[in-house]
Amino acid sequence: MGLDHARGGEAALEAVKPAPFEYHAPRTVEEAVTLLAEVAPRDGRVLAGGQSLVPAMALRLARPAHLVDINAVSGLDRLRVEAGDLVIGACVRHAAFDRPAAGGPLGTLLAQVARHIAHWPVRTRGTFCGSIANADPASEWCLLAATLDATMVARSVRGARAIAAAGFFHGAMATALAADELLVEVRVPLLAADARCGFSEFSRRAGDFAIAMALATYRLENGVMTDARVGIGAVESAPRRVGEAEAALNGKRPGEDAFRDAAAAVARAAAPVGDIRYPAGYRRDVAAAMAQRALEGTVP
Amino acid sequence: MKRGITLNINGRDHPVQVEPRRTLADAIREDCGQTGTHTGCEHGVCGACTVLLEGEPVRSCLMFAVQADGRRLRTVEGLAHDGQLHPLQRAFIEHHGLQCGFCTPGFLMLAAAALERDPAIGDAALLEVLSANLCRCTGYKNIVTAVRAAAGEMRIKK
Amino acid sequence: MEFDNTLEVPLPPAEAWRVLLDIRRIAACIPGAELTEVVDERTYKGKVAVRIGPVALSLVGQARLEEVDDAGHQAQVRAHGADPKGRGSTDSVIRFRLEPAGDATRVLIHADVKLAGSIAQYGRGAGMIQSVASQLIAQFGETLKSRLAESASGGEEKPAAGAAQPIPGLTVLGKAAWDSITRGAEKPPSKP
Repeated sequence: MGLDHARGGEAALEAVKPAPFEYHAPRTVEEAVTLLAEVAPRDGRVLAGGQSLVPAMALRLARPAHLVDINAVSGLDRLRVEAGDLVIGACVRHAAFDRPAAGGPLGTLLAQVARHIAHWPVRTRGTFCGSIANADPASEWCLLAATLDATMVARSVRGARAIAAAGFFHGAMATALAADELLVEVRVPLLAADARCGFSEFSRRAGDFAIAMALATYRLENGVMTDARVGIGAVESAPRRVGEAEAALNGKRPGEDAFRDAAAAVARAAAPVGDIRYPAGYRRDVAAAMAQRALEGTVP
Repeated sequence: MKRGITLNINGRDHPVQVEPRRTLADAIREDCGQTGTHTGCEHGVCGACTVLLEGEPVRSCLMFAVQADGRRLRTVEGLAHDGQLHPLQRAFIEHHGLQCGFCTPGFLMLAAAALERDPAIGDAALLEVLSANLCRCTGYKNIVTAVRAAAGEMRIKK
Repeated sequence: MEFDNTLEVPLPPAEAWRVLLDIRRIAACIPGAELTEVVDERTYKGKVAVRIGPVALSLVGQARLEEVDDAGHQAQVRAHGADPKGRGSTDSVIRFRLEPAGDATRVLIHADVKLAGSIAQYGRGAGMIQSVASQLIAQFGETLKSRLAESASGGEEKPAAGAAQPIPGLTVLGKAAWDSITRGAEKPPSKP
């Protein structure tokens, strides 16, 4: 019995089966990048968790000619602290963060953020690094990487390179990665033991893509906030820190006044684009509210 | 170009020939004949295709069958044991947790994974887990009641 | 949805205006763009390739120059394109206006893009479409700049480079058109 509508009939609008592709399952990073060098120019892509790629393929929006499945590549499941960073390998699933993956505030923050990513069955397969490489504007991990200044490590036949978060996210679904580069790990700097953090996201239903989200951290010195970081995501085409909001926090005592000022700064600084679902003004309002809630969440 | 793989479903090996683009859901249903697993949206939103991969719930429409070669899968057909319905199955019947039954296998496998992990799961956490799947008939209330009831029974047995 | 972009062209406004209205030249600077038919001096058929993450779309259609104001250096392009695989279509109205910026020209672009079909659903919003458009415009700007610099110094042809290129390099028509433009025509003033 054939459920394969794919043969012939390009305009089969009701086709919900992926188009044919060649499948590769390398065992080492060297094999994987060699394959990518060959197939990326011919629309070859990496398959990790597949939770974003496979739906696009099922709807036939994406029709990669080659898939390089990295799930069997050895050494990509590292999740450990090294030299002050939490190193997250390419095959580490969202579910790995349910329990604190590192000591201190970072581990707690990661667990808090992970709960907002889709649902449990998606988190079983989807990967942290896959989310970073995919660069969906509403990706929680992208917001985290941008706000905490993570470093992305990419490998290709040309070697390895480290890309700082500040230059990594170019726009919606666009990053600094070359088509034949494999993101092998992301390094997130550990937060200071006394760092405070908060995260807040709003969507219409649990698990939906966020309308807006915010991540905030700071430390206290002599009772006032210092080293503040405030990031917003899902609001613009890529996540970013909002310097004006951080300036509204540094040097102030944590509390309603400073938090409100920071949220107002987010409202002024954000440049949301309106679309068919949410007008720009609405997204702006929700972004400010998320910044406020994230900051309120920093107070124990 | 088909390739040979083996899907281990509910403890039994199924050697099949599949194209790489064959989703795990379709392979389970069409190539292995286990049609308890349902395909609803086929793009990862509804959860009707939920199966357990080494004890963890996954959306089988978002995996390619070739990726599950040699891995241990459990589907709804594996819930009943020695001719006895699983506590979840009995609870769904008793508490009217299904009407058309289309979403039911997905909910059963999702709930089975949750309760096997922690039969003492709290109310809020259970709602969070079950919100992963969609049902068009029941309005969800009886599904939650049924899972709660089964959890009670499974907790006692543990 | 509506959004704005700007572009710098390293030519004075009158020259920049001439270059920007030269559709063949423009098409040659957009990575993955191909001109297939000149219907009349204002109407062109062709295709352009865009990429949103794993989704590579080819939009086939028509662009028409309207409301051309030679004195005020502004014009409007109305474009319609559809994906031959049935994944969606776009109707866009793009207004652009030139203003001097020192020795160069700033091009102010205001786009009103309507999307229909699966691609509209996939690009959920929050700037996804705008981001792709911005990337295309930025790459176009870079390519145009380097083309102008090359033809000023009589340099070799290089294919249009950039991230959004499911179809890399110039098409046959594009290259031939570009060669005929740069070989025989007046050269733009050389810029460092």
